Amino acid sequence: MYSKITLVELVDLIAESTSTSKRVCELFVRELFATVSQALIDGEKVKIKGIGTFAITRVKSRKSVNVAQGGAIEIAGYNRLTFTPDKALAQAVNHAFAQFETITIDDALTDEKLAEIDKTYPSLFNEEGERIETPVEESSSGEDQSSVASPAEEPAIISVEETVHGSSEPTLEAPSETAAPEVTEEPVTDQPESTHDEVSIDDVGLKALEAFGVPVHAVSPSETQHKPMTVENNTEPEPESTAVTHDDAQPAAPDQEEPDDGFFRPAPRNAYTPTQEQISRQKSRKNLRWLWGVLAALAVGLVIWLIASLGGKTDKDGDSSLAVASDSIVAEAEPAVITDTVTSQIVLSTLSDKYYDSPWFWVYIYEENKALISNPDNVPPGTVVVIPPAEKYGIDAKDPKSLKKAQYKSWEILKGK
Amino acid sequence: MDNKKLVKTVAANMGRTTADVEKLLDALAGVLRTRCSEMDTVSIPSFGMFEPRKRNERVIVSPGSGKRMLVPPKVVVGFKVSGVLKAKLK
Repeated sequence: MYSKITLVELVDLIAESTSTSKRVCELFVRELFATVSQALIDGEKVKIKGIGTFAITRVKSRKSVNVAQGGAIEIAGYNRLTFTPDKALAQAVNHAFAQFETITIDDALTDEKLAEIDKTYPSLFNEEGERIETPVEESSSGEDQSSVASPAEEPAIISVEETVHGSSEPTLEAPSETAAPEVTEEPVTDQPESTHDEVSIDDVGLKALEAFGVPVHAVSPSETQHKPMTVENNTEPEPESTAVTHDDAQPAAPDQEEPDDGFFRPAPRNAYTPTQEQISRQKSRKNLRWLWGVLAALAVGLVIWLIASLGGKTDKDGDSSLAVASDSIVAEAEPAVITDTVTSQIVLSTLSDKYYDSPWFWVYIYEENKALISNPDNVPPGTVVVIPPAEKYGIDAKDPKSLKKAQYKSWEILKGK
Repeated sequence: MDNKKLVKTVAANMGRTTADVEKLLDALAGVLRTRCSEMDTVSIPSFGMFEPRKRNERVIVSPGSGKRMLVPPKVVVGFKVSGVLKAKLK
């Protein structure tokens, strides 16, 4: 414990475990570290199995202030030797703390809440700090009590545990739970009142609009003006359905009125019916409405498809023009493309430091060369990477916001790796 | 320089087989592991010193979520370069 092992002792230990002569062992240790030293002096990175990796990193010269005289001085740059222990070695050394993990601290956990948790468990010590001896029978009855009394208290404990692992969710959970039922209830209550067809049209119409939304809006504003209405109003979709089923080519607007009447007729009936009319009639009408709904949905789908296909054509034109535009941009930018080569000494952060004055912007080099680099921490030497222009990603080493953004990005990339 | 090349070079300099050197290297790594686990420092003249250091637990703020996190304490193997090598590297 906390003793210093010298070369002599080290050689003894090695000789013992390998049953080799001490002379050979000493020669080996000296030779090994002489070789490693020489490789490091030559600027090479040395990896030793079971021990770790030695590497040289250049520390740049930097400006400072002479504390005594107050003048500006320059601290010379130097080569720093860094050592990264082998995974097995690091784990073996950290065995005492291996069971711990990084945990999120719950900021919402106050002293009062902790006191509440304490109350749920009987204290093992009295006020003078002496251990309370509890008889065996009592402890068993205490367990029973806790199991009886706990239902109210247990949730509190669980929620606290959750917050320790996850976040300060408990406050958020309550509203979301109440919100969810509301949302689900609404359509349920709507259905019987406003008939099935509205719901089905809404669903299909919205889905279709979502699928084709952009082209529809982009291409034919006049037609799309009708679209939202058909989705919102339950009176209009039906007319459209008949219009389209009877005559696909005709625009929907003129035909709408005629079927409108057809739909409005049942509506007043609906107002009288509940007490007077027979249930069987109601059922048949419900079936009819359902059929109407399906027809309307189909019609809306068809119209949207027609519009979308029209829109697709014009969109393609737009795409091609865009492609031409982007081509011209690329053509303009091409001559200015900077590339550099990754070596065992020069990694992404080194390049970032070279071109952007901060190692943090390696993320953008990685982003630019994602196709070439599978692991940003281990880029094979010889890889030629494109250095994106600083303006492309808003790179500015002097801007703390830009730095922070890059740092966050690097955190995300390394986390997702 | 990777492990394979290192073993080869050392074996050539010592006039021994790579298998012998590998065995010795394994033994060296084993000694380092057991001694450092017991918080002993292993020093190698004119190269440096392997010393286990305890890092205390600390609170960090995760840059992504902005949440505070408690990092547990740990023991890490540190390496302190000897003055001789440091001067040569400069």
